[in-house]
Parts: sequence; C-alpha cells; structure tokens
Amino acid sequence: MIDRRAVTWIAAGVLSFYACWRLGAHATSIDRALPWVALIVVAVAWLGESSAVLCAVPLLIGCAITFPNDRTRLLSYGVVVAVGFCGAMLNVDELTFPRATGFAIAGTALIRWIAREHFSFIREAMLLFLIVMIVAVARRSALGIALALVAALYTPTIPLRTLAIPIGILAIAWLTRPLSTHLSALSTLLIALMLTLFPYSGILARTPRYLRHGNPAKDRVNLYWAMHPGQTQTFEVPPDAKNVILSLSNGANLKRRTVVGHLGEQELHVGDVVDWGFARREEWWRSTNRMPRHAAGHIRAYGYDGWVDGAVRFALPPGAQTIQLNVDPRLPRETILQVEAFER
Amino acid sequence: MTIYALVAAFVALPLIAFRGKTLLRYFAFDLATYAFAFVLWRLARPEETYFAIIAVAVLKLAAFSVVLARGEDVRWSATRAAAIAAIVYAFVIPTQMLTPIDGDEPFYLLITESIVHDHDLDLRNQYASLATSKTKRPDLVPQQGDPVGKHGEQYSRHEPFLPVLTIPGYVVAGLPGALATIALFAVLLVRSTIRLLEDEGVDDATTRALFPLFAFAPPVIYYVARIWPEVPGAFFFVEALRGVRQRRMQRWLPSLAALVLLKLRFGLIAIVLLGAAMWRRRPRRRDVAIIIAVAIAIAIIATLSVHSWRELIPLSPSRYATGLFGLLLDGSSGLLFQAPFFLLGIFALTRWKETPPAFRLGCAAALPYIVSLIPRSEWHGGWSPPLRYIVVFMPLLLVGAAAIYKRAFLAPAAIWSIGLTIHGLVFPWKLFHIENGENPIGAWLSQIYLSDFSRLFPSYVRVNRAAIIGAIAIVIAFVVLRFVRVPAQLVAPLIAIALVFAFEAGRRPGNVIEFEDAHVIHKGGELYPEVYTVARFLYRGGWILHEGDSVSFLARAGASKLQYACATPVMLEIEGTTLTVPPTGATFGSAPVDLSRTGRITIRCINGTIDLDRMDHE
Repeated sequence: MIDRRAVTWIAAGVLSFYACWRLGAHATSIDRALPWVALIVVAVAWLGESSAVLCAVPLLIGCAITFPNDRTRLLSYGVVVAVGFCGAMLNVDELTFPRATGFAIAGTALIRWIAREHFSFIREAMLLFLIVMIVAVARRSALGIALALVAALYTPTIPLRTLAIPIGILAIAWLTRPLSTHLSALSTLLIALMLTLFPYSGILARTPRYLRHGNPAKDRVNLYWAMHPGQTQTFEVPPDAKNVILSLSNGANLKRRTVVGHLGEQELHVGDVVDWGFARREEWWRSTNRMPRHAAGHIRAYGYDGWVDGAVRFALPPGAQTIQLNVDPRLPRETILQVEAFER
Repeated sequence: MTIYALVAAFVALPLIAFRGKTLLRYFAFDLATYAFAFVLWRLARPEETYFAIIAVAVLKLAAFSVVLARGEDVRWSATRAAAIAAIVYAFVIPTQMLTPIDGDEPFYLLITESIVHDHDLDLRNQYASLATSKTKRPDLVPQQGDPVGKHGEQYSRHEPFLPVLTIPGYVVAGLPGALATIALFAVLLVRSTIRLLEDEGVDDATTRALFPLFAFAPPVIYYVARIWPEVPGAFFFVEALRGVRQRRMQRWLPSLAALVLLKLRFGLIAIVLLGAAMWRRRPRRRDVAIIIAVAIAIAIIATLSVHSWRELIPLSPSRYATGLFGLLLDGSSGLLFQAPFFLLGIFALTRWKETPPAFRLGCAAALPYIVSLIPRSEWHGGWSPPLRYIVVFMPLLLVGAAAIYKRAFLAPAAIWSIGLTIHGLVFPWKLFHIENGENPIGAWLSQIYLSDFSRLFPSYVRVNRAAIIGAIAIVIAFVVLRFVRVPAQLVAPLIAIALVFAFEAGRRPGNVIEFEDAHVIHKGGELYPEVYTVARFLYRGGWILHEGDSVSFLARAGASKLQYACATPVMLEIEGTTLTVPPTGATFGSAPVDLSRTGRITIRCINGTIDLDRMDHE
C-alpha cells in the first residue's frame, strides 16, 4: 500500500529540486548546489512534518534572484536553511531516534557534503557512524543533534587520526546525558549558527576569524614576485598604494615567531605572514599557521572544502616611494616569500 | 535607546500572554534569538542599521506570534490582544514619522489645527502660516475641488469628524499625539475584532493564529499610525456589525453615526446595516426619533460635502472588472501582493453557508460600497498606502478567513506579509506609489537586472497581459479550489517553480516597453507628468527627451510601433539609423520602428523635444 503523504513529500522534493536546477544559479559552488540544498530542506521538512518549512525553497530562490552580492546571498541561504531546520526540529512532538538521526544526517550533509569536490566515501562513512552514535548516546535530544553537527564541522578526517574528535564528542554526549533535555534553546542556537554558516563551513571550522575580520584585498596592483631566502629587493610603490600584500609558499610548517625577513625596518615573523594555502582542509591539521590579524586573502572555495588564502596586509609608511624587502637566509631553501601585490 | 525599548517590549509581550512552561521556554528561546541576531549582526555588518533593527524586531514579533498560536499555556482574551497590539503600535508610530505626513494626512491635521487654534474650519490662515504648522509641509496648497465659502473661506474637502477625534492627542503632543490617537483606535479595532470573532463562535486557537496576520500585517499596520479615517472607520464598522448582531442599539447607532461622519462614502455601508438593524427589531418611538435626528445631522453634513449622489450612477462594465480584479490582484494595490492573507476572506465567499452570520451580514453591507468603488478611476486609493478604500473591511475578511482557516495553508502568505511589514516600516514613503503600473518589487528587480520585471505583475492601472492572465486564473482558482484541495506540501514547491519561470521571463525583452519604467536606462530627460501630479494615473505618462537625451532598454527584434507625442518634427536615432517623426499636436501618435536584433536598444533624440509613451512589438 502506497502512503499518499509519502508520495506528496517525494513530489515536493522533485519539484523543489527541479525549481532550483531550472534556476541555474552558478555564481559559486553553493549556488550550483542549490538543488541539493533544496532537497535537504524538503527532507528536513518531512522529518519535522511541517509544510511551512518548505517555504524555505521559494525563499532560497528569492535570495538567489535578489541578492547579487555573494556574501549577502550565501548568508541569506544560511539563515533560511537554519531557520527552516530549527523550525522543523521544534515542530516535532517527540524527537525519536530515527528523526534525530535524520536531522543529524541532514545537518551533516549541509555542513560537509554540499559543494564538495574531494570526497572520501570511507572516511565520511566512518564519521557518519560516529555522528549517529552521538545522537543515540545523547538520548535523541536537540543537544545530541548539536553535538553531532559540531563533530561534523570540526572533524577534517584528514589525517584519519582526527576521528578522535568525534570520539571525544561522543564522550561529552555521554557525560551530558542528564542535561540533554534541558538545553534545547542553547542547542538550537548552536545548530542555527552552524547551519547559517553552512556555505562557509570549511572556513568556520578552520579559520573562523576570517568571517568576522577578513578583508580581502580588492584594489590590487599585482606583482607576484617570489623571493628566496637571502634575497633582497626594492620595489617602487605605486601612487596611492597603502599596503603591501605578502604570503609564504612552503611555509605552513614553520614554527611561530620564526623570522621571515624585513619589510623596511619592520621584522616579519611567521604568524604575521603565513603560508598561502595553509587553510586548505588537507593542509590545515598539519600546519602550524593560524589566520593572521590583518588577513587580506580571498575565499577560494565554499562549503566544507572552503578555505581562504593566507595573504596578509602590511601597511606601508606614509608617502613611501620605494620599499625594501629581504628574506632571512636561515629559512628553509624551499620557503618563498611571495610579494603578491600593492593595495590601494 | 530604541533597542532597549524593543527589548523591554519583547519581555512584556510574553508576560501578557504566556504562563508556566510556555513562558520559561519562550524566554529561553528569546535569549537564543538575541544571541543569533548578535552573531548575524557581527557577520553581516549591515550598512543600514535601521533596516536591520526593524527586520529583527518584525521577525521576533513573528516568532512570538507562532508561539501565541501554538503554545500550550497561553492566556488569551480580546483585552490581552489589545494590550499586545498597543505595545506593538507604540513602536510603529515613530517609524511612520521618518518622513513628513503625506496624502490626505496633512489636510486632516490642518483642520485639527484650525479647530484647536481658531475654533473654525476656515483654513486660510493655516495655509498662510504653514511654517509653524505641525504638518511640516510648507508646500501644501488647497486640494482641487476644496469648497470655498461666500466670504472666501477656504474649507477642506475632508469631513471634520476625524480631526475632531484627534484633537485631544494633538493638544497633548502635537503630530505624534494625533498619530497616537489613530493608533488608539487601532487598538480598539483589534479588541473589537477579537470580540466579534468570539461572538461568532470562532475558537481561540484559530483567533490566536490569525490575530497577528490581521493586526500586524498590511494593510492595517500601514494605517495604524496615519491620519486617515480608515482605521477608525474599521473600528466603527466592527462595532456597528456587533451591535446589529447583538441587537444593541446603543452600540450600533453611535457606531453607524460615527462611521458616516468619518467619511460620507461609509454611508453606503451604514444604510445596509441600518436596514438590517431595523429588520431585526421593531423600533420604539424613541428609537425612531433618535434615528431621524442622527439622519438629519448626517444629511446636513452631506450637503456640505464635495461628493455628489451622481457618483453612484453605474459606469461601463469594463471599469467594474478593472476595479474588482485590481483590488484582488494588482501588483501595487491588490490583495494578492499587498495583503495576501485576506484573499482567504474572499475565498470564504465560495463557502458562503459555512461562514459566520456576521460575515454574511458584513458582506451584504459592503456590497453597495464595493460596487460604487470599483468603477471609479481611483479604486486603488490614489496617493496613499495600498488598499486604502478597503481597509475598513479587513475585520470582515478576517471573519471569513477564520471560517475556512483549517482548510488553508497560510505559511507563504504569512512570510510574504512579514516582508511587506518590514518594507512598510523601513520605507514608509514607498507605500505611496505613483500608480504607473509598476510596483516596488517589480521596479526593484527591473533596476537590478535592467529588464522589465514589472510586466510580470498584474496591473489594472495600466492594464497589462499579466492582468488578463491573472483575472482568468483567479476565476479558475475560485472554481477549482472550491472542490479540489492542493496538498500543503506542494504549495511552496509550486511557488518556487512559478518564481523560476517568472525570473526567466523577466530577463527576456517584453512586447511592450513603457518608457517611464524602472528597467529603462534614462540618460537625461524627465518624467511626464511629474510625480506629484494630482491623479497622475489618469494621464498617459511617458518620458520626455530633449536634444541629446537618450533611453536604453531591452527590446525584441522586428516591427514595433513607437507611441509618442511632440509639437514639432523630431529626429531620433535608433540603432544607428535616424527616424524623423511627424508632430502629433495635443494627442499621441505612432511611428513604425523596425529593429534588426533582440537586445539592448538605445533611442537618442537628435533634435527637438518628444514625449515617449511606449513601444509595442507587433
């Protein structure tokens, strides 16, 4: 016997997928994955038995149409999805294990699987097993789902030993079992925050500081000059330039505070200037670099593969006509200081 | 300061309505929403702080409304609803004072000032001393058709009863006091409407679910802090309806009298209600005497009005259709786009027998008013926030909506209403539209994509193809939805698909180019007639080009006809070829244009001055 309601939900999923596919938004990888986001929204609505949550689908399309700015649009996708997800969770009378697991998997899909280019089925399956365990241990509560999503967010799975993170969270879930039913507002808030930033989940997990303080260098006069250890170079400063943009190549594993060189009188250290690709998911766990204070990098990808390049902004002395840069000769031979650009 | 007041208000609202676990759980989630909003604020770094504050406040109000509808331990009564409305409306007043009062409002306030300061209705000295007026509108001049007395007295065309009502508020606090008086009537309207629902046997759960969509959504929210007779009129209408239903003369008679005194056009409603009241009750001699006295007083006032009984003479059938479908579907002034929830009240007509008696009586009372309104050229309300002339019937539509609420899926209408409310509170001046056939969202999308999105919204001011399709569609919907129930799960996905197809269509060139529209890139020239022309919608508008000015737009290849007006021959350059159009005198003429390609086309005026109305693809 076919359940008519199930057929209707499936039809809603197909129609939602088709609508977003037909829209053909392609500005970012998240826009391209919008049909899949819509499908997850329908799944969440079904789990929460709330037709109202399905309004997230036309709202997603509305955001895609009306917000040309990437940041505004992606944040609005996040808000719509987060509110829909939490609304569906709050709508259910009883959070049974299948439902709680469904929510956790849907959240994981949003945080980890949307717009992924590099995907290891075995690693993801191992993580998913631990996520389901967390939900089971945490008595199928909102707290359990929140902890499961924290595990999904903060486990890069490269290297494999990072699976210790969800195992640690599993232990926390077990310890907080008595509290699990009392923290629903806090848990819902946590879930909402993580899902709001699902288009930036990789950046949220690895370099969250960028989301608040990151300021990509836009008005650039590109140099793309590579300087090896021991090298000294004087650069003419273009008119109106205020900053110089630097990064390292092969510098992800240098110890913090290692002297890199000099910019005029200013001593440059690892930490002030960082490896260009240190925030990539496959690099980050091994890297000693952290997001510097004056990050000027651009977002290089979205979703869980999302990362920000390690370009850093250094202020030029007022009225400087030229600027001298040198690279410390004690640095490893393969390390390169990249003089990327001047910024007006 | 505003933020602290808002926080205090959002603490007070749940204290009025929630108890026990519901209250504690609400406060826990309330704190969570503040934290969420704070993080979003830091991430999004909104450039328009005011917009962000209003958006957060409206969304929090929506969240409160959801708990109000679905909470387990909720205390509910008409008075509690009024208290909730009073708190919310207190915040609406300052939002509507961002720009000077507009439309009829300053004229009503001038009458109040005249009564308070001069104890008369002669506005000559008010017009002479506008610099000191609380209207803050030094540009005011008497309205067209305002009555002039034997000795040159300058009266207003507007009835003086509303200004009389606003006197106490005005005396205490000037303009904010006058606005607060209207807000007070709005609070009374909310209370009366909830009582009406109770009287008609609507259950509490339904009332709680629908109350926010009535009180805090358009069009009521647009008028709660505006000096217009619509909200007090709605209050008196509800009271009259309740009075007639309860057979309480002391309720219906003063209400009907006040209704007619507020605006003479409301007399058409009052006549039916009076008839119903008389039908239901054998009047005593004293009652008849009171009614005759009130009728004489109203008749005297009616003779002073600028309106005439001739306005009730039937006009051509097409104008009835235009007005009727316009009120239902128009992008700028119709229920579908400006107050979609109330369409449910219209759909309740298809289930006439299931609706409460008050709805049926109210509909009968509304009929002469609607029939006289729809053929008028100003069916849309003119220079006013949307749905002006039918605000008075919103309580009635709420009663109808309540009757079929359980069959309906309201979430899309509720979300759209949230957006409309935010828009109306942040940009109150955008509620006044020049009625040129566009609407704010269509114009906004047209500006973003430089393509004609406005044509996708039905317009009955400048009837377009969407209007004809919309009219057919709603008739079909009326018939089909009476018998077929679309599963709620399919509504939102179907809306999504409709949005996508509309978006695709919107980016393609249209068949008709209206040169004054937002999608046209204007380099020089000016709008004709100018924005503040009285009854601008009656003119055939356009964009005037002088020598060297140009317009650029997306158009389809092939033969088109350029509609224009000019006094002398004008040479135009279109796609590198020149076209000299002959003079048309005082009327509009047309000239054939053949475009070799589909895409962006520029028309430049080489010499002369021309009013470009539109271009029709053939």
